[in-house]
Amino acid sequence: MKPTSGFCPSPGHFALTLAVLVLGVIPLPRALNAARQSAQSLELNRADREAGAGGYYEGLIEGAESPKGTRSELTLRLMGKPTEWVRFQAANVSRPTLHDFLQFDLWPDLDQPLFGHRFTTNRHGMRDRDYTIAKPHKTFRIALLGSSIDMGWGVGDGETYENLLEDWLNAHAKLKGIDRHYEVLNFAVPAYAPSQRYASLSRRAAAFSPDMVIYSATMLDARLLELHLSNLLMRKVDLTYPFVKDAIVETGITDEDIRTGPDHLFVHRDAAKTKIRARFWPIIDAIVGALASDCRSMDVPLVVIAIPRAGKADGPQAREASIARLTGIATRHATPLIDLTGSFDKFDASKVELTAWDDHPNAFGHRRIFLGLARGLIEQPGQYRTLFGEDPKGPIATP
Amino acid sequence: MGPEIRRPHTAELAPHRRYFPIPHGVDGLASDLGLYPGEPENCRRSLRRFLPIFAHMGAMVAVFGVYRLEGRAFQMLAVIALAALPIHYTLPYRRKKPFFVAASIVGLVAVFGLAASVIVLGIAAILIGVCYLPISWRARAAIVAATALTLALARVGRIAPDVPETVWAVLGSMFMFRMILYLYELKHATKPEPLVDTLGYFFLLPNYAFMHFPVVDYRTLQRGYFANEVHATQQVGLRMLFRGMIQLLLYRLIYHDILITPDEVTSFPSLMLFLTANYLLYLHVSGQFHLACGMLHLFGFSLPETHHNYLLATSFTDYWRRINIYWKDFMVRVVFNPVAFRLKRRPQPIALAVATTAVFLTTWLLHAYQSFWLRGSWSFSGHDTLFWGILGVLVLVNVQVDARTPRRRTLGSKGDHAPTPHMIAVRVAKTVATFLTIALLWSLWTSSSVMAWLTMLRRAF
Repeated sequence: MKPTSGFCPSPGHFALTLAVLVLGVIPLPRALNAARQSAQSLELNRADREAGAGGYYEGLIEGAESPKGTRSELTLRLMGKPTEWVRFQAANVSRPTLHDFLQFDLWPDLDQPLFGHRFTTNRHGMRDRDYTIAKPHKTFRIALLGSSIDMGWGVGDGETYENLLEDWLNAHAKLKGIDRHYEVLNFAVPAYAPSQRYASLSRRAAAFSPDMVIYSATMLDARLLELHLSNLLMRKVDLTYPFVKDAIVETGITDEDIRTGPDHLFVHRDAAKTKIRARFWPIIDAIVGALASDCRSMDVPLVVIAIPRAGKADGPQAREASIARLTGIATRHATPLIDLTGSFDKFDASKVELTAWDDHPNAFGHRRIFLGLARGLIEQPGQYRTLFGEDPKGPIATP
Repeated sequence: MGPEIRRPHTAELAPHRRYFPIPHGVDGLASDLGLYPGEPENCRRSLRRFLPIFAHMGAMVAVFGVYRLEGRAFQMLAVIALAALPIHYTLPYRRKKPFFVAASIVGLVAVFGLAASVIVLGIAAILIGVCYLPISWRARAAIVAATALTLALARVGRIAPDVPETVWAVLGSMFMFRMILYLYELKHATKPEPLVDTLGYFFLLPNYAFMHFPVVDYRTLQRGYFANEVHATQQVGLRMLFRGMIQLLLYRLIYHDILITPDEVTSFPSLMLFLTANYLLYLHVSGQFHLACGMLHLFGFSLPETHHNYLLATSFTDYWRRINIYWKDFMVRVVFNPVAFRLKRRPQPIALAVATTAVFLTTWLLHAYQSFWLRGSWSFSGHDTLFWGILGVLVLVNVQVDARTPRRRTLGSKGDHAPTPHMIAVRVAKTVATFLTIALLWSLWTSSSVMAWLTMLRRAF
């Protein structure tokens, strides 16, 4: 090694550094802004999210082995994750039910700090306010079926978009002199796949007599679905629903694919997941179809919403194909779809994400989702009447 | 690589050795001179020259924050470095290195928390303490090896399973290679190394943001300490930081917006796009190394550059010399030279072939060893073996050819005539051929399997 030597004055470098700094903060045209967002992004790219690829050096820089498409503990620490920040499974808020279709749910009556916020669950194991099972008189109930974003991962109890929606519905009804109370019941559980969200309706939500069901879809559903179904197969849990059984048959999964070793894990680790992933959209179609059918039989309207994660992962180009497929499925089952995935498009990821190492939306992000959802609900033909029991009188004051 | 590689430094004593001991009883800074009495000239302070450096570093830290460069850990360390810089600058020379060690430990605690840091410090104390035992070098090396084996058992969870995962990666990053070089130095040292030098070697502030850290040579680090005028060293550091910053920003643009997946390779153009973008992901490594070494320069460590225009290599030996220069020097020092020396009575081609083979075999094994400490798995695989094997053979052949070819002046060397179009064309062709070959090999190395790699190539042709 030869040491560098000599004086190297670098006013040019200083000027360039300032130029890079200015480029990082000034408003830019859309194309340049997209490039800047890439330059500022700490996220995994599409390939790494989907395949966990990246090679030797990416692995070393990323640190210890971690599940595909996720970051290791070491990486998260280097990104700045404090010690008390934990993954969902380590947060000790979920109750494993490994031999049941749902696999896990939230512990009831929790009241603990989580990431600097108060995290509470009610007596029914919902991350929500307390509700009675019997629906109070003149109450309109909305059941929300979703996963971590919907539950409000990383935000305070009062900051979830569903609580904001409930408050606004009540405020709007009061303003308009409508004699109706609103309750938005949050049945969302982190990491719940579409199949688990579907099961939540009959297993949990139906008992609360909802007047409307909102099914929340995310761009992460393919991964969640393959995890849930492959875990059911690995643990030899009854698939319960005929359409799930049919879907598994159609994936072509063989006995060899789901053979488990002495450690009770798959011998062929990814065989089942790969086959499930290949049939993701037909399975989603079956789930939305079954949900729409169940809601029709309950005489309850179903609304499908698509919600975004913060950051590039759900950017306009990345989500385009998925939203088109979801729209097609919703249309086929005569179900309205409210696409909220553009809620964060105007904002830098740092403004809406929880932290650099967690792309769940923060309180501001939840507010953006709430605004989009409230507008979407009342602007859907007939939804205002469904919600408020009458047609709007004059212009609607959207939130 | 080759017999022309020499010991990297002059035989002069390092400045801090020349000027020790600092005279006692001197407290005040002779402000007109910018030096405390007895300090080396390279330490001379000048507010007029320091303030622009400090301002530039401040602007760098702002850029790191705006672009969220390398996460919060690096940003925290950059802020610590910025805060420590004026204090380090004004401290008397003999206090500078202890202060740097203290700042590094603060960085360790800031990034990894107190609990993990205490364990790291405890184990580091044991490993370093063993090196100071008044027993033979062999015995000390054996105890260090035994300690490392024990830690390896802990790394895989056989013992001390409750120790946080991050502890092993941090310890590995600090000691897995630097301890080899340190022991190598101790073997040839005539007297014990000053403790502050040792601590300054293992506790390097930027290390706590970059687990994959350049293999800094112990003697190079000590000899480079205030080896040049301090402001010149800091300016070099700022240039390194700037280059690293640009490389990391380019890396992110490539990673997010240009890189395609192997599955998306369906034609020759898409193959070229994949090969190029995939190879350019290495900017992540070279960018981090530049940042790490740049930060060390701010504290007076004058170090060699870590990479030298590696995309412009004109041959495989040239590539090996330009990419990760610290690793190349590490291998030359602990493998190539000892093997070549043992075979000095054999014909030169045989000595070169055996030494080069030993270097690549060791490199392959040590990359797996590195993976074990940082990731917890050895990562041996067929395509990994094939990558190092093919690269080793290419360099080996190149070394033999180079050894047989009479030395000629290269383009642009002093006194050379202007390059002819033919010379330029040959150089460009060699550069493109080397780039494509390395990019192809790189795609093999990063593929999920040899079969997946071959399938991708079949789709392209």
